[in-house]
Amino acid sequence: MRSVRGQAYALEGIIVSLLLVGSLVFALQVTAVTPLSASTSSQHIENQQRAVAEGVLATAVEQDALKIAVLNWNYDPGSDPSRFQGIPASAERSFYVGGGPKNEFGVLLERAFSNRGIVFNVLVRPSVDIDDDGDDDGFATKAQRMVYRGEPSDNAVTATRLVTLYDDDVLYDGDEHPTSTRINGDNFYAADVSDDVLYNVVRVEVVVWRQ
Amino acid sequence: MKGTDRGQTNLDFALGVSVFLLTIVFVFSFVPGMLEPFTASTQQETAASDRIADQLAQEMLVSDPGEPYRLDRECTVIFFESRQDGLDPGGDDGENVDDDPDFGEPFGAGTYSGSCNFEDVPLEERLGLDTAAGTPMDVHIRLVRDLTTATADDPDGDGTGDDDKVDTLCIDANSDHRIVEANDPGSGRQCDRTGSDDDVLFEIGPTPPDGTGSVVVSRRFVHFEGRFADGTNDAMLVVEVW
Repeated sequence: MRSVRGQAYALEGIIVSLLLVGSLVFALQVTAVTPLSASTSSQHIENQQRAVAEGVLATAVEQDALKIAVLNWNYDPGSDPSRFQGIPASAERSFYVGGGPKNEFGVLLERAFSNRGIVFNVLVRPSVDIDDDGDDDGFATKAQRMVYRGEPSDNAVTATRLVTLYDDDVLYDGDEHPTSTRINGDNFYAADVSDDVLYNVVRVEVVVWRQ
Repeated sequence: MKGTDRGQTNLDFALGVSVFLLTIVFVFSFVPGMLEPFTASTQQETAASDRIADQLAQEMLVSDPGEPYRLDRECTVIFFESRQDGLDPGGDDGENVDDDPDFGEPFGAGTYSGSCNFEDVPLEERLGLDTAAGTPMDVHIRLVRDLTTATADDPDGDGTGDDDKVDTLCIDANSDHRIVEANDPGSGRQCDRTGSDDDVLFEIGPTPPDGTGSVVVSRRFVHFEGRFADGTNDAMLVVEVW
């Protein structure tokens, strides 16, 4: 009579393992991970950030702070580059990097985001008139940065708001008072895209993500 | 020739068994994690919290749904007056800053003649929360802000001055209806909900539990009609559901 000891070959062990893992993978098709599953950056967190950004933009519009922030441009006809008010000429850039803009809009942004570890970029995207016919043709592909704190993460959200600029709008100075300089294609980052009283319609984009 | 010898070395056996055992251990520890989406999670609370925050900031507390995030001063005060906490509901006659029709203590003395976007019912019903048996949800809502002047941040003069801490807001009805930080409300303080002071604390609902379960928080950035005691008018609406 043969007596065979019940011991497994290596090959048998490997095949059994493959079979087990294979059936596990098959069973994984049944499970569901939804966008609301708990994780460090779930859909819920992104929804909250987007809603808060929308609220900040709505508040800024109501206080007229958004338009002042868009027009808070320091056109320096000397050798210094044009930039937003409050940025030193030696910085050689036109946008803020250390926080919100130096005006009421910046105060609102920092109040909403800064002490919760949430970072924001602000872009101002003007309309363009590609074919020079006096009607605008949509928004520019290249936007003017107002605040740039780095490359947004994969889980960043955006809230936008349109601001309408007219031919008789003026630039604002560092104390948020209007100057007497009307905006035109030379002293402002957006061009006049319309032959009538409208100057340009810019889109302010606030990009928010968790650090 | 005996037929009892299998052509196998000890090493061959060890390899096979260890691969097999490793796989067994891995599979048995992975399977419970696979079942996790089907267990009770906070999905319901998450959806409710987000919905309630949107509803409050864009419909119920606003004067004009075309201008979301802009809270009507009187209706917000009325919303946060709870009649279930045993305290006298405060008056709100001084809150009419937008000249819509006056509300003479609608939740206090009786006749509700105003037109706020919610009904004169308990909090859970107002928000459409299911309070029936099963898995009842609780909600806690408040308006918070860190005000920027010492008189607004520390109206009692406790010595903390203008700190950088966020606190619940309170409307100090017997001092010109100014809105200040609550700063530990109580009898004899600037924010006094008892007695004849009629101050209203912008907080309603049971206190969330400390350790058990999970509390889902939603936030909205809103602004008030009129100003707070420090001249600003923006606040954060915090909705906690568990």
